[in-house]
Amino acid sequence: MNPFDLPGPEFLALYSIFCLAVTIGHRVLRALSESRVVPRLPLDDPYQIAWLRGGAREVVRIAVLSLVDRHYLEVLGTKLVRRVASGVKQPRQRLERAIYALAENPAEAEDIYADASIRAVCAGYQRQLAQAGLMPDADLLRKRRFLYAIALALVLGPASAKMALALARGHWNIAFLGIAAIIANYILWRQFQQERTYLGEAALSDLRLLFSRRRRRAKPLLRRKMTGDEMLRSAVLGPDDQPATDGSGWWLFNMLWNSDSGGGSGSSGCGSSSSTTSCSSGSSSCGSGGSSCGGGGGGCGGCGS
Amino acid sequence: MRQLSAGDRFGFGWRPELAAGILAHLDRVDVVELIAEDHFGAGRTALRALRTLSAQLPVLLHGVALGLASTVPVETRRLDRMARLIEAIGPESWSEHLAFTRGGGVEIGHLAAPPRSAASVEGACRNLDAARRITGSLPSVENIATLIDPPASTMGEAAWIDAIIRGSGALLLLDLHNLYANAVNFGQDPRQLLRRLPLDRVGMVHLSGGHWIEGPMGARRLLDDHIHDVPPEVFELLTELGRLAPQPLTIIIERDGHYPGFAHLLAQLDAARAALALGRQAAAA
Repeated sequence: MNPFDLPGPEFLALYSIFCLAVTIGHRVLRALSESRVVPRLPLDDPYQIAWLRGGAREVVRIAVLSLVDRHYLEVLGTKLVRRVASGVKQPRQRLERAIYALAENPAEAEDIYADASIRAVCAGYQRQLAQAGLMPDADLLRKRRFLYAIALALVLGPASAKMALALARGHWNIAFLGIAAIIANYILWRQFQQERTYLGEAALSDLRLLFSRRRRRAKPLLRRKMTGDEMLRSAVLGPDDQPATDGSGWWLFNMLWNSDSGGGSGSSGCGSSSSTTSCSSGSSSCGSGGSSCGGGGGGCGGCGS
Repeated sequence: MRQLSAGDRFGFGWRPELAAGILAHLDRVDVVELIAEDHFGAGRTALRALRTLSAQLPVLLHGVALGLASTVPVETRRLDRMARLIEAIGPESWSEHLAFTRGGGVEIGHLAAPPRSAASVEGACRNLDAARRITGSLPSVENIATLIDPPASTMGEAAWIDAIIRGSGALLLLDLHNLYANAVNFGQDPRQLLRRLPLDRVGMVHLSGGHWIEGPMGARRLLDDHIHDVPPEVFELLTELGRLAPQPLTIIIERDGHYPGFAHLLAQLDAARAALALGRQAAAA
C-alpha cells in the first residue's frame, strides 16, 4: 500500500512516528560519532573548563572576577581599572594579561568582550577543546552538517510530497502536516546547533556530578581567596551569584552577568570567528538541548538568573 | 633534597568537598581513594563520572562495611556489589578493614575490632579468599583503631595482623594513625608496634588525625576521627616506615570533615612527602 494514499489523519500519525524515528536516529548517529571515553581533561586550566561550560562570556567573567579578587583590577563607576601600578607585577596567565593590559585605560564590559587580543586568547581555548574532542572541530561540523542534511531531507521530503499530492487533489487541510514538519525540523536544528560534542557534554556533566555534594554554586569570588580550586569550582559550576560585600560586587555581577551589557549574546563574545557554534549564547551556557543544565540547582551558573 | 622511591605516591581520600582542590592540583596529587559503599547504588551516569575521574588520576577503592575480620562468612551480596563497582570503575586496587561490622543479624554501624584469636585469623583468611574469588582480586587489609582491647583475644595486634597477612597473601594497608592511637591508648610504644608488623607487605598507608577524649576511669583515649590534622607523631612513624620498608608506598591522607582550605591539606601532603623522604634517606645512608 502506498502511504501517500493514506487519508490525512492516518498519514499524519504515520509521519509523526517517522519524524520521531528520524530525530532519534539523528541523535544516536551523532552520539556515536562524537562519544568516546572521557579523556584526561585540561583541569589545570580552569579557563578551558569555563569555556566548555559557557563560552567566551564565562571565561571573561571568571577572569575579571579573579583579577579583581587578586587586586589586579578594581571597579570605578562602571569601568574596570588597574589597581596595581603598571610595571609592578603582571598576572601570568595569558588571558589575564590581556585583560590587565586592556584595563590600562578604564574599560567598560563591552571593551573587554570586543578586544582583539582577548578574542584571540579565547579562540585558543576553543581550538584546544576541539583537539580534545570536547568541542566540534571543522571535520566534526562537516559530519554534523551532512547528517543534518540527510535528516532534514528525510523529514521534509515526505511532507512536501504529501502536501503536493493533497493540493493536487484539491485538499487544503495540510496545516497540521506542515506544523509537524516544522517541529521535527526545529528539533533537528537544535541537535545540529549543540555547542559541545557529546563527549564535551559528558565531561561537563561528569565534573558537575563529581562536585555534586556541594549543591550550590561556587563561593563568592570577591573575598580575596581566589585559589586554584575555587577557580576550577567556578569554572565547572559557575561563580556564586551572591554579591560580595565590597562595593565592586554588584557592579561586576550586573556588568558581566547581564546579557545586555555585551557578554550575554554570542555575537559579542570572543572567538566567534572560529565556527558557527563557537560562542555561547545566554541560553547555551546552560547547555543547548537542555541536557546538561542542572546539577542539583548548582550546575548552570552561566544563565545569570 | 628529597629522595622518594620511584613508585611512592601521595593522595587524598576522595570527598566531594575536596573535588575541586584535588582536580585543580593534579600536579601534586598522585592518587585518590574512593569509599566503595558511597557508590554501590550509583547509576549509569554516576559510574561514568567515576570513570572520568579515573581517567584523570589513579583511583583506589576502599570498603568500609564488608566486615572481613570475622568468623562469620562475609555476605556474598556485598561482595557482588563490590565486584560490580570494581568492574564499572576499574580501580587500581581495593582494600577493606580488618574489622567486623555485624553480628547475629545486627549491623553495628561501626568498624569493630574482633577478638584477636586463631579463629578470627582463620575467618578473616576465609573471607579474604571469598573476596578474591568473587571480585577477582585480593583486597589490601587495613588495621583499625579501637578504644577497647578486644575481649577474648589470645594474640597481640601485630601478631594477629601478621597471621592474617601471611595466611591470606593480602597486602597491608597500614593506617599509621590507627596504629598510633592503639599504641598510646594501650600503653605501647608506637615504634615498637610498627616494627612488629609485616612491613614487607605494606603497600599503602593511611594518615589522618584525631583528638583526645575522656575514657573510662579518667583515662584519656585518642580517638581517630579524620577531622583533624595528621599529628607530628604520625609523620614520624611514616619516616620510620620509609626507613624500614623500601618498597614503593601509596600514601593517602584521610579527611572526613572540618575541611580546611585546600592549601592546608596540600601542606599536609607535602609534610608526608618530606617525612617519607627522610626515612628513605636514612635507609640509604
